[in-house]
Amino acid sequence: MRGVQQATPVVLISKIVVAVLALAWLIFSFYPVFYVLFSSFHPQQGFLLGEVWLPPSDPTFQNYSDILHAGFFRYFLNSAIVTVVSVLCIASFSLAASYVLVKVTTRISRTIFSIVLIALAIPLQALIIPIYTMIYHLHLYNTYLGLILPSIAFGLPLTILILVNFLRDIPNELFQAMEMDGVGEYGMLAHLVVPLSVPAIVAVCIYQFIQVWNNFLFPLILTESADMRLLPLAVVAFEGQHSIDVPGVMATVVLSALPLILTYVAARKSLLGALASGFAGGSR
Amino acid sequence: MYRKMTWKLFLLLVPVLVFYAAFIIIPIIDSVRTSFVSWDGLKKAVPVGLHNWIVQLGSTELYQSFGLTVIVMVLSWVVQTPLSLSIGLFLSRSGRGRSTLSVFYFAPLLFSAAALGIAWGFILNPNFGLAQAILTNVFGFKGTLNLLGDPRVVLYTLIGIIAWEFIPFHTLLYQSAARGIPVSLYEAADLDGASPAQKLRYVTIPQLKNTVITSTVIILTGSLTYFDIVYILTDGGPGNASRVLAMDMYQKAFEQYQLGMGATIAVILTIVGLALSLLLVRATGFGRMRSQMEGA
Amino acid sequence: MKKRTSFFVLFVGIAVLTAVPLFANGQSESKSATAASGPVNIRIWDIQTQEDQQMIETATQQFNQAHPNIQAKVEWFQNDTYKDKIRIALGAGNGPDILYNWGGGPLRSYVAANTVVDLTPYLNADPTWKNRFPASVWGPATVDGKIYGIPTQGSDAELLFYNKDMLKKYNLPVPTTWNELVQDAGTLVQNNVIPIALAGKSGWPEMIWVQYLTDRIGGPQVFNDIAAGKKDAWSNPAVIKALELCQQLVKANAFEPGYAGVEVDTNQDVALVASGKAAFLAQGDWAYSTFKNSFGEFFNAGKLGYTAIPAVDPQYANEVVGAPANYYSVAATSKNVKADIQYLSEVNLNDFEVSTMLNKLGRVPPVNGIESQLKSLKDGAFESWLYNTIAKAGDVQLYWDQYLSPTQAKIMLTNMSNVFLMQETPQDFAKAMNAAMSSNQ
Repeated sequence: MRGVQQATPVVLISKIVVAVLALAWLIFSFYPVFYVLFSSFHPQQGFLLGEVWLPPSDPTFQNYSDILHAGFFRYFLNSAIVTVVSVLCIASFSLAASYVLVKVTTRISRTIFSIVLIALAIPLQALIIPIYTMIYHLHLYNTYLGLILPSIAFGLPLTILILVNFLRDIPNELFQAMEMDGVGEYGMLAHLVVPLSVPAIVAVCIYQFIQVWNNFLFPLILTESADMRLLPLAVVAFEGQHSIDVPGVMATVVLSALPLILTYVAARKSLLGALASGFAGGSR
Repeated sequence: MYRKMTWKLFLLLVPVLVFYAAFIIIPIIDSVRTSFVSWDGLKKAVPVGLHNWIVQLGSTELYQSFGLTVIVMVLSWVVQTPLSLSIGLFLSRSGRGRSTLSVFYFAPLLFSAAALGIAWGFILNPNFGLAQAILTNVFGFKGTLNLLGDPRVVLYTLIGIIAWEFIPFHTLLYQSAARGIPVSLYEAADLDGASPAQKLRYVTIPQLKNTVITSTVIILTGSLTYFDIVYILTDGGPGNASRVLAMDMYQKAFEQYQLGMGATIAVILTIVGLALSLLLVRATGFGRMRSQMEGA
Repeated sequence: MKKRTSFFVLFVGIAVLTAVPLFANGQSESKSATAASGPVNIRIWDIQTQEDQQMIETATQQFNQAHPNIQAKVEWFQNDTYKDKIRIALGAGNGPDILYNWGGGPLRSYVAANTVVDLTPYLNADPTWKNRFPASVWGPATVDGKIYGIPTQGSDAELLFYNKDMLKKYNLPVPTTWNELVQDAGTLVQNNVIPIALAGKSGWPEMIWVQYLTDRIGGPQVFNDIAAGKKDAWSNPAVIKALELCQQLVKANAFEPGYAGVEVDTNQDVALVASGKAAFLAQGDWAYSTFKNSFGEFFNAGKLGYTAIPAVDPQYANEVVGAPANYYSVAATSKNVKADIQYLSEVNLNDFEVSTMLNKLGRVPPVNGIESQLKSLKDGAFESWLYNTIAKAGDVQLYWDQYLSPTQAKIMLTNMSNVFLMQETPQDFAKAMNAAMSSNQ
């Protein structure tokens, strides 16, 4: 690491302070998630009575059993198909585009980058009706493709922004070296950019996976039948006309988040592994 | 690096361009068109020229919403950036403890806004919530904590919750970026006898400049259009106290069914957001795509 | 120079080329399966849940079996999101054949846009069917004298629930007049009990108080004027007085702290009463089921009481605020209106559904001739009470926020919220609403 730090009082105190702050942030940032988790085991009776902030004294799996019997696997499958396809497309299209935007320094390239930025400033709700009309006229209403295509489009802006930020730091020398070896534009993308960008690609994939998986507005407006429902709409099973069965909703949410959690935990290892090597070759 | 755009390179851009044209540019144009009509979603749209624009730009409501939005944007940045930066740097050092911590820190991002909204609603509930319970039992506070029902305070509560939700994401950005800073720079600083504080100030932060800009653009445009948690927790209320522009747009378009008016606000949002992003990008030389290392 | 402009042209070209095929097809897609020999498919969109949903599915299956040439399918949606969905679908001409709705303002806009079918001729042609429903339920579905909706589900009324324990503990009478309620509230406040639970964030619970008070003070004519769009109808003294009375309650701390942030959908207001923290709650009759199903300990101990909202002017003491019924309408784009009518007349609130609702669901269906059946039910006391309360009301006034146009409704709820926060005077409320009404929103 970076040389030996002397164990002076200042250093010790600062370490303790940092540890306390880290713990405080852990509690603050994780408690609401923890609340969601233990609420999902609460029986529907008497929710809100008693000690609300502690886990239930009589936990039950009933909520989970209810949602699993209410067609959960079908919704899961639908969400999986839409999300996986969308994320793969978002990642590949964005990487290709970012490569060009970073490496080509003409005005048109900068203009296109500005156009990319436009989409960051628009709320999804503003465009949902024109998109609905378009999807309907393309005969894609209530289909997988009708969900996938807009999801790809809305995942592109942020992904490009992040990848551009990442790619610009790949040293020019590496490109020049390959150019001298006679490697063409596509070759550079495949053999230089992709291997070096793995950490960034994994990071944006994780983020876009979460976004598409949890997106509520697209499935709501662009699908109709129960067999095309995605997970975010599965909470319907627990929402009555006048009131919500909160523990049931929480159970649905936890089940929906489970794949995300597992994906994240799995992908992090490779992410950190790749990060450790960096571009410039030195490891920390 | 490339001086010109070849056909081969342009082909790499085509997928993005097609998707943009179809699902973003054309709907935006449609939105602009809608801002010039009066439409309730059912009847045929009636062209009304500049009427919507005149009404909106002349109403105090719009400026109120705009003011609230600006507060959200600025405070979001002020709260989120230092915290994300610190936590990101903290997590970027190696260590198994930190590694486990970062899994927990990231957790809020994995859950949908609906669930988190309900959870926070209960935590902050003045009669049943944890926050109230802690204040009463631990601190002996006699009053009621009215974070969501008090119009003077609700906006700040929301800013806090939004920060809670997004700090993990920006932390990830900074964490990745910090890990990518070449060791050679730190070694050079060590040779010059720099202290940890000096290394932070003269090596780490400058190298993170581009990430700060990326993160800032995302925070500013994100808080401009942010909607989910506001909708779930307060629905723009109490009264109008948390009616930011995106809520205003949603209410006009989907609760009052005045889609023309809603489109006007959407267009305003787009123009403001775009102007902001472009400004940031140009003013900081971000758009020139130079590597940070070229200055090193 | 040339290369740059040529690339620009190319980009614009791609955008245009993509756009052209997307919008070339201007027609909405035609529904399939209208071949001469195949069955007629009809789509119904509905929002009912759980057991009500099961009941309708069963009834629909029975219908499908009895009529092989008509196949009906129901699609289920969540309450709030359904409102947007149906509007977008109707506006685009892609709606279902039969749509569930609440009558009132939204139905009027469906009619104004010619997206629903006038059902009066079909009803008149089948008097047995028409007479199944009480005369009072047609109101919210009638536009310009024509009927556009068939009543369904149950009648709903808003009433006053209370925690019997709390009242007994402080020796409080069940209030029958407004002054009694205020007195009760005073005693409760002194004893650190929340008098009235209120879910202010959701808007309409606050409206219930204003609406009831207006009705109790000035009678139904006050809102009829507003509904008719009479100039300055919102400035009626009854409305002003109602708002003033509500503000008095706020000032006297009658509502729970933080009421403006409390939400109704997650039962936070019901929980206050069930936990003994609050004494009174103005809610719809469905809250009875909520108490029973989610707060069983409280309910089974017999601690739940219910009564009508207290009177102000004795002559209006029996008026009821609620929903006479909800409705099924037929979309104008439906390809086979006769099949839709047949489905509705044979399935909706048929004997099977009525008996299921009475015996299993504890609901009061809006049909004639069920008084005797009510008494023998498990929750018979409540059901009979509810039925009689609705029956003896001179008028069942539809919730203001359902009756008014969506635009006016939203403006009203926002302004009312400000009044309850003491940030707006009743007079300013009237001014704002009169303006909204006259600008024809």
